[in-house]
Amino acid sequence: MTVLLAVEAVTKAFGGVTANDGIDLVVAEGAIVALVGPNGSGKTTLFNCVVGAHPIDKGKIFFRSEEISSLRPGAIARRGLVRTFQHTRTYTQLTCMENLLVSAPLKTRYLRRLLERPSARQRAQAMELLDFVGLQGESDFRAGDLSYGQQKLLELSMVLMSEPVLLLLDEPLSGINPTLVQDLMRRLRQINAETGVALLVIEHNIPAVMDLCDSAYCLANGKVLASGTPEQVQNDPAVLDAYLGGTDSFSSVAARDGASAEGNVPGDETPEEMAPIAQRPGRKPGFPFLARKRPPRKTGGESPKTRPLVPDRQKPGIPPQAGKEAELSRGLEIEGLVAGYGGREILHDIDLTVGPAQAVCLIGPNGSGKSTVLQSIYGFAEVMRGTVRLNGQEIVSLAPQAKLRDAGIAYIMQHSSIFPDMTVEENLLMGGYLLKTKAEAQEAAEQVLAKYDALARARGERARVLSGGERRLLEISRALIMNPKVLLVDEPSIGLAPRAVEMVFEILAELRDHEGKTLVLVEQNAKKGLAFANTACVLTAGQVVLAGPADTVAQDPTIGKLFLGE
Amino acid sequence: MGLGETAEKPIWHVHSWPRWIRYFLLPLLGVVLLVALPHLFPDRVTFLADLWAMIIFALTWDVVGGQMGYNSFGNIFFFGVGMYVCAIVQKEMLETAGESADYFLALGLGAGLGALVCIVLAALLGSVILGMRGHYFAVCTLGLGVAGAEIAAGIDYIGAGSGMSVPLYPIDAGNQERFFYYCFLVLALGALFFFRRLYAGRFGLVLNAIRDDEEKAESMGLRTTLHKTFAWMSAACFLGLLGAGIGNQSGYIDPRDVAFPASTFGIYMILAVLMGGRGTLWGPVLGSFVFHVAKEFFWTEFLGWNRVALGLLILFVVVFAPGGILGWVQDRRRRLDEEEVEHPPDGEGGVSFAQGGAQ
Repeated sequence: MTVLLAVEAVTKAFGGVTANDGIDLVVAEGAIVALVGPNGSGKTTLFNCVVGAHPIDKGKIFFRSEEISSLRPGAIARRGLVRTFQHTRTYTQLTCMENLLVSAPLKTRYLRRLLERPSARQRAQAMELLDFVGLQGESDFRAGDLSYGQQKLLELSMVLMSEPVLLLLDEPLSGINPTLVQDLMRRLRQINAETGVALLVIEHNIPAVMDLCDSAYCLANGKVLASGTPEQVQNDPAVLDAYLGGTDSFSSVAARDGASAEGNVPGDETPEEMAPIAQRPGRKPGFPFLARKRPPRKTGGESPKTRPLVPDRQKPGIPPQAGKEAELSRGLEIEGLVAGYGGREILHDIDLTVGPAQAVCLIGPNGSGKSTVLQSIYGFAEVMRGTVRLNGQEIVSLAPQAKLRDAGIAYIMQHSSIFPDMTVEENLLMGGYLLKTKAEAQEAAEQVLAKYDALARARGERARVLSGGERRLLEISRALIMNPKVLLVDEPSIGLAPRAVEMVFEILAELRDHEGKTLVLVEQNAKKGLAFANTACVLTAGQVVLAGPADTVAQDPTIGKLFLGE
Repeated sequence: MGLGETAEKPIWHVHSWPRWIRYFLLPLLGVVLLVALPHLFPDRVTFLADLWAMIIFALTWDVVGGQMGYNSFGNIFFFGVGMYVCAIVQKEMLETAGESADYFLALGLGAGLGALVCIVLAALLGSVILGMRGHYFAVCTLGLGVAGAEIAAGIDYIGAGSGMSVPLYPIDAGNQERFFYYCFLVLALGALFFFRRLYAGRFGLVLNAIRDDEEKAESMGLRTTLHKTFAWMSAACFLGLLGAGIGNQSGYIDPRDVAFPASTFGIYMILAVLMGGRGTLWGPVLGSFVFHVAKEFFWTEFLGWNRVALGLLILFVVVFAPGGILGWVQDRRRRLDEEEVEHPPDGEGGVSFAQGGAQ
């Protein structure tokens, strides 16, 4: 075994927080290594250290026996060590083809080569890679016009174009359509086998990544908790404890979910305690805010069979309403919606209805227009035809801020939208920017902080120190400052460890069942989304192809086929 | 679009015109017209020469400010440096050699040396300043033009605050105005072809990548610093040459108004690019034309209010066409093209958006 990458006792601290604490890690030539661990365990920090984005405090990093600890990111990348980003980054104004062409390796300094035009061979290679990730049809579109999942695939093809020796992939499967996960993994394996590229993969989809890798490392609290073969790591009690709180074992999750095509839903169970925040120094374990504020759960509440269907708008769950009020509470109705961006039509004739205190989940392949539905409702997309009504009132013509202020619609975006350099409290206050006085915003913020202990403890800290789960919580609660009736939530579980996913869905369930919020949800994790929602809507190519009660949709035999776009 | 050749393409698709028109007839007509212009409008030669100067200003600003996304307010610095270096060389040569020295030789050598000094300065400054990003870079360059003027105004050798005069244009050498018209014409065309070549290759893509996400570009191993510095050096080279020409055209160099006019041409070059469409090859050319003509028109028609009128025009363009005139045209064109794709005449379905990701 030839060692390709050796990380030796690397330590990196930000202020008082030690994100990486004496980490040792080895990647052999041609190996696939998984790096797992709860949110906030230091995985991405380690990536940043390896590629030179964060100068390390202590330790050494060797790549092909050469010390790279103090090299600049560009110099490291040119040695063949290339990473992708957790929050996908592409050159948004360039076309997909140009994104690939500019990523072709250039290992010379000569000016003549810099001026060189992309060769026919490079173009062919780029087209092949676009084909490989399924974007051949989008080669002339701007990368910024692609959906999140498509950009993710584009970024993967970009790093492949650079002919790397070792790829660091930061959550390559998050935001990818479940039916594509298996396919993508097969392709990653194929790349590895054919070109000998070694892979170091951060991933929350444990069954998938454990299936893919030769060896694995589990980080927790900035330290290596376990390492070895996938089986060893999966069965290590310390890992189980850190990751899942000991309620279930990985192997059983893997056995159950790994087999099915949509098997990227580890941790379907509802653990009692949440790991990510518990792992941090000085944090009490668990999410006390859930235990504190959560009213007794109705036992039947989770059974989809007891849920009313869409047409039955006066659903129990919100207090019985007076006649006039009930008339007004017709929920959100979308009719004949045609929308897109920059004149490009993405949604063709969408109909969708969701009653008050109900949740609808939109699922479908990458680029099918799920997020565009939310953006059309909120006003970020261009609505060409059709109507969107909230409680009978037409809202298409309202500007986004009028929707938030007057119509009571809040939008929680897919990519992280916190203000990283503001404190948690300031972030919440920004959520009340449209309120008349700051006192109102302050009051609403206090309510939120009283409700969510995790945020209250970090209220004076900069939001950038929060872990993925806490960030999501902050985004959701920031949206609550305006006390919206409708929450548009785009991919609530994206990039979160299984336990944090549970937390987010519990929060959403509480908002729906006890505060009567109407939820429109886009979720790549279809299983999870369908288990949560009342109704569901399957989109492909900008059209609704299947709609109905969530449990019916979940059991529909054609759903896999619809996802595959056959 | 662009895969299958459709029989009928809209007339604005220049690329679909026959080759002999594109590569022979159009350039020939263009050259004849450009050469003939000063003879057709003998009263307007300086105005036309300044138009070419404006185009060079805008083209050089757009390399860094548009294509690369680094807002530079200090490009005028190189203009002034080129002007002074050229004037010094000319003066020294004519003083040592006396009347026998050739004016044009001195001008050529001076301009060449001016450009060289600008390139070296851009390389030195660039390796320091271009390490800064966004606002920091902008603020830092803001000081550059002002500093240039103040430094020049303190050096006695070049006349300090009272400025210096450049050697006189020889009387028997023909029309001075026309000479500089052709100088700037050649320089502008040179810049146009140079940058066209630069953007056509990988270099242009790297500049755009830096504009879109520099951190990503760096993480992909692109030599960002090298590209940024080279881009700035190329801009500095053309600005130096232009400065040398303008200094001689005006005959007198004042440090603040002629050599380092940070508050006029330093800003005009940016406005011209914004009007035309930043980050494109032809946007700066188009923007310079509109800007220069409008500036002249408002000056003759609304004297006293000319700057207000110009400001309103710029405001109008920036508000209603944030991508500039060319950006607006391209956007319209793309929409028309896409409508064709979405609703082809033969009734076939549009390009499916989702299937790409799913198959």
